[in-house]
Amino acid sequence: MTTIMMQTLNKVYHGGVYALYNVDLTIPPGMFGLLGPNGAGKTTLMRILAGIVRPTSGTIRIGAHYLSDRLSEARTQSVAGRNKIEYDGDTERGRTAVKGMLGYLPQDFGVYPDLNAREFLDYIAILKGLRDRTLRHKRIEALLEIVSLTQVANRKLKTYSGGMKRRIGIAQALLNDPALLIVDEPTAGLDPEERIRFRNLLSELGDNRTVLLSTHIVEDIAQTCQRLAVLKDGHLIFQGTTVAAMREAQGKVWIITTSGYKPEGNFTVVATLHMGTTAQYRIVGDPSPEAAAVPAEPTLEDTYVWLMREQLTPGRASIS
Amino acid sequence: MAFERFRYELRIVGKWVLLIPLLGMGCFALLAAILTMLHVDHLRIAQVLTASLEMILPLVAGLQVATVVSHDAAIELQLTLSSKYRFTALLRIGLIAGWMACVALFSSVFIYHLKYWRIPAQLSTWHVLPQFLVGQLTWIAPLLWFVAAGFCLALLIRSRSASGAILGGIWIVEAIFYGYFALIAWLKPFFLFPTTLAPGIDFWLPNRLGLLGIALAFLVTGWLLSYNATALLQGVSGEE
Repeated sequence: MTTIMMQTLNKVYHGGVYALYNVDLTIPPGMFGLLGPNGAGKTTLMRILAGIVRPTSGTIRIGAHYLSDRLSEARTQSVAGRNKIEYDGDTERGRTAVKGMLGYLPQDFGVYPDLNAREFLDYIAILKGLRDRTLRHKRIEALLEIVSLTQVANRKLKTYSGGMKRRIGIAQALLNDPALLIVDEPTAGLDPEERIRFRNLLSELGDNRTVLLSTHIVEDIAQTCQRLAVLKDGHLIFQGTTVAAMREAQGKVWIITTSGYKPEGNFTVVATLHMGTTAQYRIVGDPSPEAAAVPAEPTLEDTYVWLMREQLTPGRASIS
Repeated sequence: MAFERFRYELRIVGKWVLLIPLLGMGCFALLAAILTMLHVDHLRIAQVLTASLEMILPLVAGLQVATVVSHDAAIELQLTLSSKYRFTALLRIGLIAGWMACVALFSSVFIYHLKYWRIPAQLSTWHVLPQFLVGQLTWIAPLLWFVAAGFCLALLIRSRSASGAILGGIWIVEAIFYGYFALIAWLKPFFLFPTTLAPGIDFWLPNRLGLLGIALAFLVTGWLLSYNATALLQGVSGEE
């Protein structure tokens, strides 16, 4: 199982814009959620961890203690002799090392449309260094079964729906039985049924590896992760358990029932329920005393709204 | 595994990469046959056939390379794999250039045999075999030049249409203003189509070698550009 440690990680793009600002984050084994609005720096963080993008400064250590009994032979071939990897993001060697133990599903997962699912997985397996043809094909069939695509595996990928492509994405990420699985916005654009199916699949995968799930859909994190981190404008504004996160918003979530008018105050309305002559508002913040607000138990979504409201970052930092 | 990899790369670059040069040469062969039936001057027919090898195939190869390099549907995934993307890109370029070379070599044998080959003045007194072999520089030099330029431009601008437009623009300038390239000293090393347009020049061989040198410089530049993953990801959605 793999633990990832990041210290004072910075990524500055051209023009002095900070995509990540002094991020100190520890990601333990299991499912870990990375939450934040669009533009928060999630994808940059994912790309740095995947060895695609170099951090401007800071250190990343990825320690991997593999359990040999669950390794497939194919995996053993590709990572033999490595029972601990320290990934230094500043070196080509470090980035190459982490790629051997990584499964990655990008946000914008493109496929080669004229290949069918089997061919696509075989091609990626070859690029991942799985040399033995028989083992490779066995692994592909097993993964097609896991993602329930065996029946359509001979269809060209251009005929696949968004959900099916995502499932192929997960299958390719698992080809080398990775100790670290990074999935970036995996449920974006999926219908509710596909989303639930995908979440369950990720949860199962998180049992015996580190799975980093990046999303701006709070529900996905709430249903799958015990620990999470929240990014805003490149700053890490929270890391800890989901329970600890919800404690942050304790006493800040209220329900106000009115005769229809919208209540005013220093708060954010997270839900509105119209019930004939009255309306019920779920708010996060500080309602005025005369509003007759009733306290409510915070959900992770309320907590997220609270964190976004209260953790005011000074806009995206920049150097010039 | 190497053969399977090769087969997949071929599928990914697409059938059109194989078909276009074949169809192109087929069309030129047909045109030459029609011109022969119409009793058009032998020199003109030779010029048309030489142009197909020296001017058309290299341009097509350059455009194909620019297209293949500037767009990979799974670029972000490719960049996370143990096998480095720059080697994958080079393999695809090699595939295109290699196939073009096969088509050009095969065609040149026929053209030479049928005596429609425009022989540069510098080679006219040479024996048949060295003349034929060195004469292959007619298409090798511009082919490698366009392939390397396409590779470099695609990585630099990350746009197949812009890279294609630049390559097309260079081709047109060379074809229209070839007189300047034949006469002005500093332009001579950049003369891409002397066999078709001015075979009488006395710097044919140095020009061919010069073009190969420029192609090598382009390839090295492209190789260095391929290290810039952030640039390769341009156009892929994702936040900062």
